[in-house]
Amino acid sequence: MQNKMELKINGKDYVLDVEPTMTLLELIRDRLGLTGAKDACGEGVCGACTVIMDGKAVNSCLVLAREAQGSEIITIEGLGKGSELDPLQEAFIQHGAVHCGYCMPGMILTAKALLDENPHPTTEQIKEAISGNICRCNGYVEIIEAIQLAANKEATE
Amino acid sequence: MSLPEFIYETPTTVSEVCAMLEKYQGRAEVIAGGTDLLVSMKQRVKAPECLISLKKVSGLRYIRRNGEELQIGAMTTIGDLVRSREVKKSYPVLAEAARCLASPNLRNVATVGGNICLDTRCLYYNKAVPFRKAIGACLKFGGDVCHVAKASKKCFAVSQADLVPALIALGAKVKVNGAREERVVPLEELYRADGKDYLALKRGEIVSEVRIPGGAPGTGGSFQKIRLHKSTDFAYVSAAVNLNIKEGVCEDIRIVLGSAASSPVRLFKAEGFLKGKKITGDLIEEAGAIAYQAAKPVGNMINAGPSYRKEAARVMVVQAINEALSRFG
Repeated sequence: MQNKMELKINGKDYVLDVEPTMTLLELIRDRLGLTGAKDACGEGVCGACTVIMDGKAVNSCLVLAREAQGSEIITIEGLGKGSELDPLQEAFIQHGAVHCGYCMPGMILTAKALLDENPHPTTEQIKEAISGNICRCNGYVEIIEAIQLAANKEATE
Repeated sequence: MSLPEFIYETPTTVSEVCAMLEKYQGRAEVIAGGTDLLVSMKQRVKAPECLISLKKVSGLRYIRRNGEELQIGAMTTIGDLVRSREVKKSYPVLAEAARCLASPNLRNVATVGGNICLDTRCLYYNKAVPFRKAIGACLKFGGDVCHVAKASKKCFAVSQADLVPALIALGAKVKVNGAREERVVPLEELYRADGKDYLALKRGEIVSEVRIPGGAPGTGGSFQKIRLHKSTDFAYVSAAVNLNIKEGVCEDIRIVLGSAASSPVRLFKAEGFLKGKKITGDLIEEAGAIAYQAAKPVGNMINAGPSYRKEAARVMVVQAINEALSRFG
């Protein structure tokens, strides 16, 4: 394969033939059917395409798939185990943060990357972390509180 | 949005990169983080025949001390800068500039080298094909009219990279690698006051490293950026200040405006006004007034006209000096 690449997605190894013009977002959505990440603005300002790449939240619409050679990617489909939800997913649902749901895969993954790096964020740190994820529905308060709840729950367990 | 077709090269050394750039004779571009380049390509503002990836070139991503000097590799991400305790402690103006650049997720991918070489921007340039087809090719596209200033023979596209004013305020130098030689120059010498021909790099050259001199004791700095939202947007105008106070007197100061012109603007007159004096509120206001006179933005930004941006330059400079003073130690 001339355009061969290898990467890990949600813990699974892939060897794929990927043309250079494909973005990471197109790879996960169109090629692999992982449609949690959304193609909204396509230019890195809305965050609906956010995935976690090598431990950091990134806008997958602006990452060439081939630039993810050798990387580890986590999409929203990779959170939780089967029917057991990740504490962040639980907190978002229980706290009413999910309205239409469109921004949620990106928003939750950004929050996940934040808590993995900083398990006890302040409200200001949460706001800064999600400042690249736009939500049209809920005015952000429930999102910020859900992230705080998930962080507190992790702390007490 | 789709990308135009391109050949994708994955060199592993800087010499390979420079050799490839020479081989493609201007038809290739390097891709560092890609967060600006890929947007331009999706809009068909750029469509290089070849993209030379810097991702697998070893030894370009680091933040390290070499004697007094801090050396930062060109592929260091903005996120790396934000997370660096060394940068936050020793160079607050740079830490502040990094932290307000784009958004957190973009910062995890965008690079120092990419920001230093950032394309200039204009309301009439950073648009997709339908808009640009309707107005016709401007000077930056090789046409013969500037849509901002119809009589101008020079392009007014704006230099908007946030790290640049901060790095110039710190007296930073850059290492530039070419196919046959490397050179180290003060960062401000990389920029031309021309929106079209804005970067003084020869074909085959790339920026590989930034070098910041050690900070003397009593140094403080700040970067102030004004924009519509608190995240993501480019600046309407920005100001970087780095100063050094010894026995209550300003021994040294640099003030640089960003997003005000086609290249970063060093405010030598305002600096000269404050140097050697004990800085008071009145003197800071005067420095702000000098900044107001020096700033000459044109009408090539949405939401912010030239008179607003002139006034904003004044406010950003005043805020930056005040914040820098509160930080020296």
